[in-house]
Amino acid sequence: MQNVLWRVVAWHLGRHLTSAQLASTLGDLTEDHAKQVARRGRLRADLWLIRESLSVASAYRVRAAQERRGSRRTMAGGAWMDDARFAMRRVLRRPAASGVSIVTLACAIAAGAVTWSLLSALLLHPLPVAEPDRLVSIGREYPPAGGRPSWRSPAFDYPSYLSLRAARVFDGLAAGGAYQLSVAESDTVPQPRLAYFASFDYFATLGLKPQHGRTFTAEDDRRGAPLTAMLSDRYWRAAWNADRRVIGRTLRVLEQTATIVGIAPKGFRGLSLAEAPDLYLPFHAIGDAGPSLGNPGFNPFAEPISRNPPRDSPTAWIRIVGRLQAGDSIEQARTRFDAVFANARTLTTVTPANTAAIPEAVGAGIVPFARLLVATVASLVLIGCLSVGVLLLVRTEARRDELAVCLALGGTRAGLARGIAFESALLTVGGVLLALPVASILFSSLGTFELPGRVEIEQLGLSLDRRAWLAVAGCAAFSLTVITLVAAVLGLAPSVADALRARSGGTPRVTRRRTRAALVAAQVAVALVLLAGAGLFARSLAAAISLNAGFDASRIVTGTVSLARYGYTPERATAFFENLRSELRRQPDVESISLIQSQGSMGPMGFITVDGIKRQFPTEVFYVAVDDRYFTTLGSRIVEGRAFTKDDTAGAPPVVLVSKSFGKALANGASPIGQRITDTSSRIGESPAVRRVIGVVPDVIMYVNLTEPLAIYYPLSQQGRLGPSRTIVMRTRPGGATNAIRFAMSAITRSDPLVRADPMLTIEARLGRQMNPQRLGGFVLGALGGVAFLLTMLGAYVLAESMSSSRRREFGIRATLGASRLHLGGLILAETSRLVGVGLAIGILLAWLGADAIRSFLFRVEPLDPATLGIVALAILGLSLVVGIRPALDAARVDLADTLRTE
Amino acid sequence: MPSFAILGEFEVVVLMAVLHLGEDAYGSAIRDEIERRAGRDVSRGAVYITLERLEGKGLLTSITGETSDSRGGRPKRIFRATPAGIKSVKRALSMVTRMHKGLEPVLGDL
Repeated sequence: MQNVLWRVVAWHLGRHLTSAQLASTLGDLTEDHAKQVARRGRLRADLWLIRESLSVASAYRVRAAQERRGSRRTMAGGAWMDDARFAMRRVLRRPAASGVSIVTLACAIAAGAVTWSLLSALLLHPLPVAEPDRLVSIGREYPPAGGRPSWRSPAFDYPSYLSLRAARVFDGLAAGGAYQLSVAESDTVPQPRLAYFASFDYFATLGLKPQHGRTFTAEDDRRGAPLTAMLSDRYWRAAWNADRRVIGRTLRVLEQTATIVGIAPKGFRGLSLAEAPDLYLPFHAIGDAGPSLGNPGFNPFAEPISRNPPRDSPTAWIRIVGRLQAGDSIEQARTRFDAVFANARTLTTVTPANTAAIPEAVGAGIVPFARLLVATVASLVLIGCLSVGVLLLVRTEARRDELAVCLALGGTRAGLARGIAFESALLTVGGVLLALPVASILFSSLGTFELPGRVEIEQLGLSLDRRAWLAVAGCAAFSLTVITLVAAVLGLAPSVADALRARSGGTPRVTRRRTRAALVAAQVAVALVLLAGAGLFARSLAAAISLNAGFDASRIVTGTVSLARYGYTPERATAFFENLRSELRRQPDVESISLIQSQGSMGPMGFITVDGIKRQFPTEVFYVAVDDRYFTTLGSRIVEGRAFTKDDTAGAPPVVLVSKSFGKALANGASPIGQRITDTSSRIGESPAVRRVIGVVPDVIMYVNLTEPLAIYYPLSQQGRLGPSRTIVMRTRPGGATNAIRFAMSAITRSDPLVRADPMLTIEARLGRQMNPQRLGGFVLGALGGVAFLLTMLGAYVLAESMSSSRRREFGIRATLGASRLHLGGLILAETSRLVGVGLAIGILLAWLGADAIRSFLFRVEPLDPATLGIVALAILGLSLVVGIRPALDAARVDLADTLRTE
Repeated sequence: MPSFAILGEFEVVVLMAVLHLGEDAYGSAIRDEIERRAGRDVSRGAVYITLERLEGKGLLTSITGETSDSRGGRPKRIFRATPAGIKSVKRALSMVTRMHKGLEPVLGDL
């Protein structure tokens, strides 16, 4: 038993003592234990032993803990660790305020990183190809001639492509062209997919290797070869579930079966940002499986129809990229190229492929758009930092007694400032980490928008750029550090006397109040700018979708069905559409239906013969063949003359209707009725028809950038050469557009399961889609403005609350001296409104300065639209006063006796 | 080690006990000496920790002594005051003496 006790004691002490300490201690205990046994008996001696050993172990344990703490302090800087721990406690003690700060920062950082990633994908790294600097896009420039300005085109016909290949100016030359085709994966319903007919050396020229399988071979790329296909990474993942076993499987392209031979590299989205192919087919397969199938008149390998600019020539479908020889500059390549491929009519243009990948409209529109986006994000980062700054300042003020006492007891300002900085750093780290999930939400929200130039953001396959995330987080951290330092300097400025003065109920120093007020005013200014921007975009959108005043654009649905790609003859197509028309008539949501066909257009450089005189018109003139129900379906009334009737048959005198804008241009303000317009084309051997204008119809605006459309309408019945396509126009019952579209799409599939119509939309939705950049702008600014607005209200409330509580004693005295409650409450509200007013004035100034940045995105609204600015300013002012009511009521209810008792 | 190390009260007591015991200053004996002379109960742990602290400050040194049956065959750890330790005790006592001077009417002779 004794042995057991001593073993336990030895084990227990051994946990805390070294072996030398243990030996001497156990020796001491043995010696004393013997004395205790002799004096007090064994039992008591054993109890004594236990007590003594516990005392020794406890002393050594405490010392070890002290040493550990000491060494931690030495190793990591104890004061710093303590500061960090205290800062963490302060952050956790106010979870709501800390949460708001972290979420604000996260939104700001995420928005910045997403913007950066977007602009980087658009402007900096549009093409993920090998040595992009050596990859060039080749095009043609047609010099000015006959009053026509110079014209650039990236499109080549097949014979020109062969000549270019033979020239051997480049290290590699790749060619291709994109078409939308009906594609079915095994037994699924066919879907329209973008197919790119790529030359066998396309991927090799770009320096890309397939991620699975192989690319095309010269054997694949010849007429009559078994059809092969490569899938884009996006299509492979979306429709084939990223299954590697797809290699060797087949898919249906129109009526052909194609064997999948490879998967294009990840991240490669084609050579243009505006189109991302779903699959690649061999270049020469276009003759067997391409759009020529349903259109026997189209020969993709034919000579150009004319030597004029092949603007609308179907034979000019080929885009060409070349890889510069090592050491060659673009200029050298052009010179060598011109020497081989001399053509007096055209010049060769050689453009870096990275530049050519950005559609012209994007190139033109993206710079102001990027500026706007960057300015918006910068505003958000600023407002996020301001919010955190206000919060830190308020917290520092709340701690001013504590800070003053610390200073009085010998604490250094640097040490106390370090604590505040830690608090800010913790909030920043929280914001940076939370920014990751917020960014992924933003990416998925942005996917539904389009950029200027019809670039679908979803097609860009954006992902968070880690460098962007770090850089924006760094910027936010830097801004926050500056604001924190200001907060710390102001918070630590007070002396003990000031703290005591504040404790005694005196109004706090004006400096600090001013700083906090300035931060809130800055918030108000930024919120005004963001919300006004969102309002302007919303008004632009509203102006765009209400362009057609003559009819209800939300009830008119249009959609084009092109049957050429499905091998329809014009006669079969006419039967298809008549059958479809009678089906749609039975749908209760469809009030009226009409079929029309676009007949092309004449550009401003072309001539139209009117009353025997060739004339030019300022904008494009559209030719549209319509049936006799078109204008009734739209619900628009004839402005002048008469509409088409059933008597306007093929044998009747040729007639046309003109749009109001075209009528005005035609007759210079007088009536165009009776004028004669000569057809621009005719069959060989026939003279062109001369058509009489019988009426003027209201403008039908389908494009927001063409608000005075020049249009000539032909009776469908008088158009002998109708191709196999029609645009279906339906007037639906109010609220019935969605049902009607669904029914129409299913009716088309029922008629022919292979046929897929282009998306059917209301005219309102079509116009809205053209305003996608504005929608995106409205969405971004609205979301950010909403956040800014909430933070501003929070800031205004905190300020009013702090004013009310810090001036309690003053208000008590005022109340005693006879000030009414209304007057006391009014003081708080007046100060709040004065402050918000200053912020609004700054905001209006900022809006004025930034007006030019936003002007190009607005539609029929001025950047400084007084109504928008007024409504936003009133909303901010009104709500600031509402949130100030509670602090104002607190101030009104103050009682001097209570105040003094509390103090 | 600085000769001007300021000692706590208990450190002075432990150092003086070591000086009293001379060659036989080990843990149990020091504790007994303090209790006998100062009439104050002290914990064994506090004595051991203080001895080690003073050794750490260079005011004491220790050697391993002989073993004996009465100690279960375990050695003693004998402590000796270093010159710095003696100087520190003198300084502490002289400080108390100086502080006491003039307080005789209040405190009487010590």
